[in-house]
Amino acid sequence: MGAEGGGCAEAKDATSAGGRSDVLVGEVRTGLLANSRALTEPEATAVVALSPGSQVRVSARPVPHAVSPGLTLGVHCPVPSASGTRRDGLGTVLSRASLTSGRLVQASTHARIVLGGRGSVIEGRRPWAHHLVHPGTIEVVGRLPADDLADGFLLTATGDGPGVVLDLGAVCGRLLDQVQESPILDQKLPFRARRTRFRFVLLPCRHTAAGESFHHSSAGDSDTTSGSSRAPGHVCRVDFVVADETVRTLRMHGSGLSLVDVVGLCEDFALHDWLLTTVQHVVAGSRVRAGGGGRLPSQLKPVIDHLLHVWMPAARVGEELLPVWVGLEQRAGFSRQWESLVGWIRDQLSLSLLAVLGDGAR
Amino acid sequence: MILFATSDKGGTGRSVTSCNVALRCALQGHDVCYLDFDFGSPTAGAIFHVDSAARGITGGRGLHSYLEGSVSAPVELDLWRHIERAELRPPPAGAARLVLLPGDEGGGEFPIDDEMIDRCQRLLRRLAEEFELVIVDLSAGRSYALQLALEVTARPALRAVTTRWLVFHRWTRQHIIAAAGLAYGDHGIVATGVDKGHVRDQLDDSVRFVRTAVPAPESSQFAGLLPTQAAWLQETDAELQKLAARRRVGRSVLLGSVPLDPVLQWREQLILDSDVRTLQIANKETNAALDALAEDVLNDDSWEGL
Repeated sequence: MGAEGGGCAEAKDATSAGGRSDVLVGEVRTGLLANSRALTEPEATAVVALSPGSQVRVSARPVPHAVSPGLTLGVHCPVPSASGTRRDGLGTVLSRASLTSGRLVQASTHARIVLGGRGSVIEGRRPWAHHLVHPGTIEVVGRLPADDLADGFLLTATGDGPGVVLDLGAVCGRLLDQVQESPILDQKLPFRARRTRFRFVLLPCRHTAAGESFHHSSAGDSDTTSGSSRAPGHVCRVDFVVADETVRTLRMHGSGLSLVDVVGLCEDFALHDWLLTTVQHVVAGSRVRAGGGGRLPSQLKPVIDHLLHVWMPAARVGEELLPVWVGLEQRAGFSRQWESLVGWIRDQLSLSLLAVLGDGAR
Repeated sequence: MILFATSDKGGTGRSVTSCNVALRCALQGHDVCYLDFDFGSPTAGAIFHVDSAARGITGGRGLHSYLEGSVSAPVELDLWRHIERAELRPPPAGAARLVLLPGDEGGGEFPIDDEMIDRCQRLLRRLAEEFELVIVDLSAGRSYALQLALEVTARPALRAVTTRWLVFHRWTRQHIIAAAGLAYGDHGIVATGVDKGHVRDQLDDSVRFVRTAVPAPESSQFAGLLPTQAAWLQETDAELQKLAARRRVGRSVLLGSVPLDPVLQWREQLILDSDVRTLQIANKETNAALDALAEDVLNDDSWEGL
């Protein structure tokens, strides 16, 4: 990682005046911590103390959570574009790593990309000092429509080709590797789980009448919710897409939102999506090779030990963004799916108990 | 577990056997990934029936490009989507993940630098996090790939990960001597590993051998032999056993042996149940030997120290 910097992106409106628009882009990667047991709070703190002298933020409730200081990395490269337009961006991206329940590890990287609007093109290069006082901001030289950037970022598979375009996924993946390589960890994982990639963008609200909802269909499992509260910060539209086994994308339109909170929402969302994905995978595997005779499939034990208690949706989501969670819950039914899985696992546990009791009576 | 597959000579059937083991482990429900570190001639794609990566992948996205630093992550092919064999479509129920990280088409051997070691270590550690079995197919002999493997596994971040070594050799006098040399000789696995910081006893304990193309005198293949021929075969086999024991590649460090099978030799591809039962082109002994090998690879008992 590059130079160490402080805090998170400025909590600013996602839209600025003068025809310029800001787009928040980011990626969260989630995985199982490479350790045989859950870490204690001091251990978790030590693992995410990634830059000397900066504080790790720790909270104990509702689940233990430790967040590394923000790390800044200078970038100067073309930004993504669906149409293939080449526009250079210059600035910094912000990353941080976090541990939840001493068991799950996340890395997230984001940047507020400032696009030059009509007639207000950001001219030329500014000195690095300018960029360093705005950590997590990338200024784009030349015109680029916000949607073109967002599509380019969400739809292109990053990390697969020779990297010439800004690749937040690579920065994020690298940070996750760095945490997992910590000498404090014993590298003995209780079970194997895939990492998931969660990409998000926050775009300005489109200029439509309040309350008007504009649905369009997206490929895959798509969920669209519309909210119309005109509070200081509000969300007009959310699209969540499960792109493949490990990639998810979230496209939000909103204004007046705190970017710090949006990143927090996405991290929370990615965490629960990972939990659901992982437990679903284990359950699907153990259904195929059911032990028979009421025996508890061996794959379920680590899930019961390590994951079931971590589910705590929207624990760190602010008031403003709570409707986003509620909307996604209604459509995608995260909690309903989770409860059904947990119910099935508990049933298997009861069946296995009955079987053991039956054996004893015989 | 990270399993390095190596051999002193070419043509031992190292790659084809390793690919078959990978497939079987995945079918048994273990998440497996296979890395083609045979940079000079990547063949894993062809063995796995992946036409698009038969001689490595194009576009500079393979392992070679990743290690050189031109891409941030190498391509990972989900083999259940890419294997062009009808019997594996859809993937059998209960099959776990099976992923191939192909080499680059037109790649070659290359000297190692520090950044390459960092990248390799980061990749292997991440894969060991996501997969139960990571098979790394090294090129034959004392290659750069072997150096790299010994270098990264001595690093602190990988020291905690279980790493094991499989040396493939054919069941002939020259191959036995060569395999023993690769494991225990000058500039062999153990000697080089110790130079790079490995603990001798541990590394020594983590090496096992696989005999390939072993003629089985009792099999139906040799049913029509003259008594003199059969006796000669028995005698030679006994001599080879003695030689192997003298060179420390005897039964105590043997993980498995795969019989001589024309299908394995000539087709150099996956052997599926249908090849044995329906098509009846492969021998059932081969199938059983590959099954046993897959089981032993994942069974800690077979890797217990002596």
